[in-house]
Amino acid sequence: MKIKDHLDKAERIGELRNRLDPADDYELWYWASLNAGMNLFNAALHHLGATVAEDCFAHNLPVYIRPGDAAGTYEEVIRPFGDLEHVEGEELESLIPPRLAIAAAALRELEAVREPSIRGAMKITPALVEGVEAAYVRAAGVARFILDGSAADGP
Amino acid sequence: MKAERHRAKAERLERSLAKCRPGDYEMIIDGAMLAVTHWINMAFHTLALTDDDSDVVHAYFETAFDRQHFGLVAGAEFLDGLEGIETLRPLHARGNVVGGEAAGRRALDILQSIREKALAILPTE
Repeated sequence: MKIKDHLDKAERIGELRNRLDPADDYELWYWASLNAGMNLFNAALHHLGATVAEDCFAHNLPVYIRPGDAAGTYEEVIRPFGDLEHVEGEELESLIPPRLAIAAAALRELEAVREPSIRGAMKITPALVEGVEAAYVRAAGVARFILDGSAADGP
Repeated sequence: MKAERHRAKAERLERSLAKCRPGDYEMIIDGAMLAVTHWINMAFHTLALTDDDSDVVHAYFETAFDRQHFGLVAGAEFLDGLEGIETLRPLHARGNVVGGEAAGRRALDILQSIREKALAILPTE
């Protein structure tokens, strides 16, 4: 997607995240944290020219979904790396500029608890919630700093 | 994970989904997908179709053989429903195609049908 669309999604998903209870709604709150964080990260990658900003939507990279000219139509295409779904794998990690290394590490922290705590039986504890919150704030802060250049939004 | 834990996870996700507004369609679609996978795993573990340590994650991860097997024993609606939500994700959860709110409603409709089908599998007391 284009940077503006990522920022729009990050804002709306972030607003939902704020409405959810981090403990009672942990699963959806976590998912919103990861998704808002990835949208900001993708926007920052586009901003730095590391990945392509285009209206092709990630679907098991390098396969993307490209909407057709007629409403409701789309096709599966292989594209150069645009939006990332996850920050994992040597090929993808080689794309990440050093300025986004801290954000990437924070997203990997989030990813590390995705399967055990969302699809598995990991106990939802205050420490887990605090770790997710800290990683989200770090990823979002670095990405916003790259996008805005505002020190106040930095980590 | 055991069937009852999958049910608890699905029900937690559904309680959180009830707090969403139509404009939260990205997380409605993804949350419905997650809840559907838990209902599917509850059903499949209950039927001894899959072991407790072998969970369905995505429909597209399953082989044609397994999908046929699961469909014949439990009903094709389970993985067809999951695939239906997964089809919405790149367009609306990760993309900006118009119709996101309608896609969110579609995901919740699929979730409801899968939940009902999964609960119908449980033995009656």
